[in-house]
Amino acid sequence: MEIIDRQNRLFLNESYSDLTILCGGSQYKVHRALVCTRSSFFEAACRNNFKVTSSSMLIFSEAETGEISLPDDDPVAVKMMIRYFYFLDYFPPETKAASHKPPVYLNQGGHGQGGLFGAATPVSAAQGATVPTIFSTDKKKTKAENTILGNMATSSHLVLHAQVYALGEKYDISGLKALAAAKFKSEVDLYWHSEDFMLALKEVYNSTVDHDRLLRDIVVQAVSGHLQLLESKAFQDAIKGLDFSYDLLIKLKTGGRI
Amino acid sequence: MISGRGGAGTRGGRIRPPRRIIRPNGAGESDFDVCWDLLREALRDIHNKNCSRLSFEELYRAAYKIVLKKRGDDLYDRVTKFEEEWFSENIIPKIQELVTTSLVNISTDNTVTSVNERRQTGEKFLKGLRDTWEDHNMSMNMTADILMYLDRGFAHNDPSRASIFSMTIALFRDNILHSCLDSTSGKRVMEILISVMLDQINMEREGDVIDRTLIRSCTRMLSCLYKDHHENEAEKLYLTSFEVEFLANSRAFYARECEQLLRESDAGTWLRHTQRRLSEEDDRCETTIELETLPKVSKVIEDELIRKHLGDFLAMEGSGLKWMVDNDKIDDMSILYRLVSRIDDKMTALRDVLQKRVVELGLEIEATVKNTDFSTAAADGEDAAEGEKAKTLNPAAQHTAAAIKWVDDVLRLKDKFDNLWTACFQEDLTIHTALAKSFSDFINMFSRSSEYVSLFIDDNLKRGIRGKTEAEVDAVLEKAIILIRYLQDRDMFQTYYQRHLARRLLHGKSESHDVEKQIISRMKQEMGQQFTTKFEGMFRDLVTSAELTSGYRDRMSLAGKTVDLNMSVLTTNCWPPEVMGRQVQIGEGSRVTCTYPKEIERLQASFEQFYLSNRNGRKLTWIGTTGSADIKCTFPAIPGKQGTLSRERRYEINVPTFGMVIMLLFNDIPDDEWLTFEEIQAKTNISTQDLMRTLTAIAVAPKSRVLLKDPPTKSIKPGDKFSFNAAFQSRTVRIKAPIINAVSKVEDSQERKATEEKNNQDRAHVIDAAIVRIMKSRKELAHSQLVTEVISQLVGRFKPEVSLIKKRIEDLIVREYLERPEEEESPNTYRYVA
Repeated sequence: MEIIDRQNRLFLNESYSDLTILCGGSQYKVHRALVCTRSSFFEAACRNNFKVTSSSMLIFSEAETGEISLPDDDPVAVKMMIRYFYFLDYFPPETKAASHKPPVYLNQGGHGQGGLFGAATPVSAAQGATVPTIFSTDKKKTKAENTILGNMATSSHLVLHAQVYALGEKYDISGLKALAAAKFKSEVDLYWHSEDFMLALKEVYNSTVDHDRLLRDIVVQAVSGHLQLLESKAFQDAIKGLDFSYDLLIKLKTGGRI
Repeated sequence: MISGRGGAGTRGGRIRPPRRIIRPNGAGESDFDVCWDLLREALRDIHNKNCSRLSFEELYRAAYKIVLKKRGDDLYDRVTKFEEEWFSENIIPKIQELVTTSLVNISTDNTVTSVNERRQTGEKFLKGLRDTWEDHNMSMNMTADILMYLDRGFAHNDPSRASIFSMTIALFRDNILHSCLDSTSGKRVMEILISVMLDQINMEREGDVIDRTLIRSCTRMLSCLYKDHHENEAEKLYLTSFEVEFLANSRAFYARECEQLLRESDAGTWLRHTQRRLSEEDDRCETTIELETLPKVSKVIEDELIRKHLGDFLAMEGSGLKWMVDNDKIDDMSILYRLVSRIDDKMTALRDVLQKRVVELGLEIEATVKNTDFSTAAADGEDAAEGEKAKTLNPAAQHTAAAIKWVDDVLRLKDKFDNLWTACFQEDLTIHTALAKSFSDFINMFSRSSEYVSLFIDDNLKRGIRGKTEAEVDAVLEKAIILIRYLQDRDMFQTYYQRHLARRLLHGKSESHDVEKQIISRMKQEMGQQFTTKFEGMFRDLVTSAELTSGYRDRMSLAGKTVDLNMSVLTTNCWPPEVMGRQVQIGEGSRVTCTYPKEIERLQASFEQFYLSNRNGRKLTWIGTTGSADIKCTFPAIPGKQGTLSRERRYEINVPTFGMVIMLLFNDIPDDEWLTFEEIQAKTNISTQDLMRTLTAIAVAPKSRVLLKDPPTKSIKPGDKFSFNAAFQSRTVRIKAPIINAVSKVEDSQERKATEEKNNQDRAHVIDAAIVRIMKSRKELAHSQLVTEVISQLVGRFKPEVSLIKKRIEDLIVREYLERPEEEESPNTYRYVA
């Protein structure tokens, strides 16, 4: 697959880069030709076809400087998105589960996808430890022992997938949305009982508009298949105040279960 | 904040669960206000063209957040309100300034101001409007970019909301174009805009130079706006408002122009003018307005400038189509063709005029020929009174010349129209068919066309092709075939051709047998084998005759005799009846046989014996009318005369067979004895007509007057006396007496009547045969069907008249080939009687 090969080379090569995406201290040298054609947000940000007269500027600062900052988005999710721009796929960094804490921490530093994220270059020494390293050789794999629901250890990426999905929605990258939703769905079947799932559920209901049903339907489906979740206090707290309750109720009603 | 990640960097690169974002309503409200304030300032900056300090991401995020907080409708409404206020505060006043009284006047009355003034006022207005539009359009593009998520996350899911861009861009329509900024006239800006644009376009039509790009910017603007928020492509303002007006304006303009042309100009000017207008509008649609209007405005011109008065222009005296044809105005007609082909691919108007003209010119040719006929017809009358004399050749030749002139003229006409067809009418098939039909029409209207065409070929084969190259001969043949193709009564032509060919062959007048064969083979291609069978038979006869002659000679020389006898044994069916003595007798008519002298009879008997020895059961008829004989003649020295007359003179005279028979009579009587016409006829039994003809050759023709005639007039009459002309002298030894019959001339009316009668008889047989053939295969057929079938079967040969077919059917019923069935229900049916 020569084209994949080419894109791989492009991904590692900043000499032809004409746009920089800044996020969470990372700086991604990307190519407008790829990025702008996949996302109407980036396309509009780079748009530079307005008349510029001597006295007035009719382009935004991004188009002028060639830098787009995404301060509000999750850095790992953004990294996934950028990877998607080049490879039409992404792989979450390998989980290094915290040995003691219940929340699942996603390891940002070490991962097994050697080199694929290497284009992210350090920009700040202060962030030293968190800066993604090029060609990471960290091969340690540790199983996280997760006991929140008294079950087996889990290390899911449900939250990350939900965040990536939200980015796809926000920046109008439909392929990324579908991809993230598929990954999300396949993990839900394994981790519906984990705390990650609860966090992901909240993320889903807070980061997308309510007519965007793809992830919402997956979540509602999962819960309606495992109603015992409702008995958990933590779960009850999690869904308080979310549209989820309504969706679940309707789902059960139409399913003839109440 | 929805998904604040402020601390992500300091958290050791770990992903935290998102913060709780559910906030009390108050906080959401203020969030919204913060975002909206940001956006509002940005919108203002965009309008002021000052946005390089704006971060797209920040603005986008602000809108995104608002939508995520389900406050999209509020944002939408605020943007709308903001833009509306912007219009009324900043833009409308600017436009208002442009709408001056003189500008409004353009639309109402454009005679008040000078053209130049009007153009400048108009341009100023258009420029102002265009600039406003372009600013607005650009601003709205940027606004739409910022609010992109509002479209995706909110407006798309609410069918009652148009996208931000179409909503804001439509504000221009509602707040500017549809507003009424001039209270006195009550006109809306749109009306003023369109009338100014049309005014400018009309100025250009009148020859002024205008700013085309400016107009185009305005049409582009109208193309970007729609009648309503559905944004239906067919309801662009350009189409619904401007184009309608533009077409109406153009229609009025061109209608007026056409009236003027009709009054003041000729057809040539009209053609060129219309052509120019078409290309102008073409150009206009390319550069000034939208290309999609081109077919419509072209149609307006086609309607107004071409279709409406096409007939009037074509019929113009001294410049119309007739004039163009007569003066070979190639350019004019080329334009005309192009114009007419735009409105009517059948070319009806053009075709009709051309057809009419062809027939007119054809009839003119006929009239000219008739006039020539008239002068000779008088001579003909005299002729009949005085009897035949040497000079009668001249009227006959004139007659023939008339025929040839007719054919030449027709061919010239044909060449002319062929040329026009190629040069002007792009070899259009419809026109070709129409022209061919007209040619066929007038040629067949002329009753002698078949005869004339045959005479034309006759003339060419006898003299015309002498010294011509093969290619030239080929051209002549081609022309001949073209003419034959037009003939309807091909059987008539066949009759004449047979007759003329026979004369050429028997009298050795044909220039080239090769060419003869070529033309026959062409006819065969064109008209089918049946048509040429007889002609081919004639050639075959001549070949076998040559063999026979040499065979006979060989036989005779074996017997120790030298006989110089050239025989032509002709097959009865292949040769024309009058040659074979089967002609319908007119009055006394001619007879082919006569009482031959004894020595000739012996010769005949000898040949018959030779001929019949190999071919049993054949009958030979001796035809005296077509042959000739060489006679060695000795004229005695005349005592007391000087020069040649004082010596004995020997001549070899070639005379017609009958001439020989007559001359031999004078061998038996003393030199100075006279024989009367009646005595000669009694002894030879030659018919009066042939006898007169023959005597003309040997007693009147100056170069071969071997007999004296009393009285010495120039025509032969019964009662004249003849005697041996002992004082005959000639410069040459070999003399050829003219063959009075040999010139193929136009028939006189009597002959013609005979030919026609004969032809009708032939036709009757042919129709009989066709009817029987059809009925034999169909057994039973209705009358009308039968007639149609007969006509379609015979169309290649001639066009039978229905009355004749009817007569033949009656006749066949009488002869019991057909019967009418007894049954009542089919009164018009015939049945074949086996």
